[in-house]
Amino acid sequence: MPTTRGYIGLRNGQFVFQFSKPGNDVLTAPPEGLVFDSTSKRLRPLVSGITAALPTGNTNIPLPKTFIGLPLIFVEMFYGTQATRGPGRGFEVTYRRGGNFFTINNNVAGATFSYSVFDNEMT
Amino acid sequence: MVGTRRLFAGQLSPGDWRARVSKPGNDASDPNLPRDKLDFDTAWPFAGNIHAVVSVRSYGRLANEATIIPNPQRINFPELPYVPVVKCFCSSPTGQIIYWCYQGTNTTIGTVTWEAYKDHVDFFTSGSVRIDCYMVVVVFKIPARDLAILGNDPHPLPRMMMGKRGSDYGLYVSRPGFNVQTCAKSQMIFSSDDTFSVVNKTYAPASSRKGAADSPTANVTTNINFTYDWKGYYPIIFFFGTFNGAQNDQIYTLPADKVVNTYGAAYPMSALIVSTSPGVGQVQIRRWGNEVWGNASIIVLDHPLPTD
Repeated sequence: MPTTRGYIGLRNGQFVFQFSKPGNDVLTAPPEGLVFDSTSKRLRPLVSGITAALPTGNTNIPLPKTFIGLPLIFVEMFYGTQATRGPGRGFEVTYRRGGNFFTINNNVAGATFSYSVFDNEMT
Repeated sequence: MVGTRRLFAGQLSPGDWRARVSKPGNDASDPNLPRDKLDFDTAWPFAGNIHAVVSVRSYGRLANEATIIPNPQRINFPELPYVPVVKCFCSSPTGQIIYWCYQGTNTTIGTVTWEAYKDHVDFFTSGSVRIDCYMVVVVFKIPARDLAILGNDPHPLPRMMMGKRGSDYGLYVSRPGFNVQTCAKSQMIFSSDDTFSVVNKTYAPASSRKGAADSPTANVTTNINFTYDWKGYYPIIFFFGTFNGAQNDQIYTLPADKVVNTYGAAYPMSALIVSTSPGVGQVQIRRWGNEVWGNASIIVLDHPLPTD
């Protein structure tokens, strides 16, 4: 009889997507026997996006909440036609503790940025 | 009585295929449901997580010796159809220490910056990397710049499946324009058999503190202790913080590998993250002034650092 490798539905009071490793029954496997569990701890992605072409100076990007801790903010500046640049290469990113926005300080007129913000309070 | 639908798998809106789990009382099939009302969504950028952790070994050099590492150092990773989000830092050969702009005798790492492409990163430092270390690039499966936008989804390409795909079983969602049954893993928004970087621990104290250095030349460190669950290896740890003169008006400088000055540009702060023993970590920040308020935030990922 084949092993059950996937489960979708209510389990232990939570709705889940779960898949097991080969040879493990998804309904009885220990955590290390699962290849994926939608309830695993991960950082909650809060917001992501791409800006319009920005002038030099400060641009505030709104956030949906304020934070007890600090958000993890990734920002990249589009560079050429095929690349991005990280902070310190033409821009800086700041977040003022307790605020509901972060700021891109841009030194390259007309640059476009993409950003992804994650909550340090886990799901 | 009909309950609220908390599981959804299918076409959420035209061209947008997803699987989701909503929080109690929220309809998972509502395309306008905000992220904080969801427990899981295959479209979340972190759902795909780490694409690769790649590194180049650098060996220690004395101050009067030229570095043998070019600047920038090119570090390749398996090609993606987009430019990914990356995070760069240096780590010790045992994986026990992660360096953030470290400055010591004959052991210098300047500020780390980078340029990312779809298959490599150019790793820059503001000074020579003279320290015995790995230059590490964490490549997230998060698009920073899409290079393969194909316009509207050319229906009827199947874009979501649950079940057997090749020899794997799982949940799969492909990017617009790619057949989920036949496309490469790199052409997917989500595949449940990816390597997922589960979070081991986060540390984010609610209260501010001041640094320990009482002068620009005080060669003391401010230490922040934390613990994590030991999984048999030294893990990737991210550190970031806020620093400023006021307790409740601190400016957060990102990323943690950027120089921050609390005593002026001539005396930059520098720091490292060390696992003093398995499961026990400490951030050591040099030249954090005793009049400067700050806050720290730490994220430990269940993912090993490269080692010799």
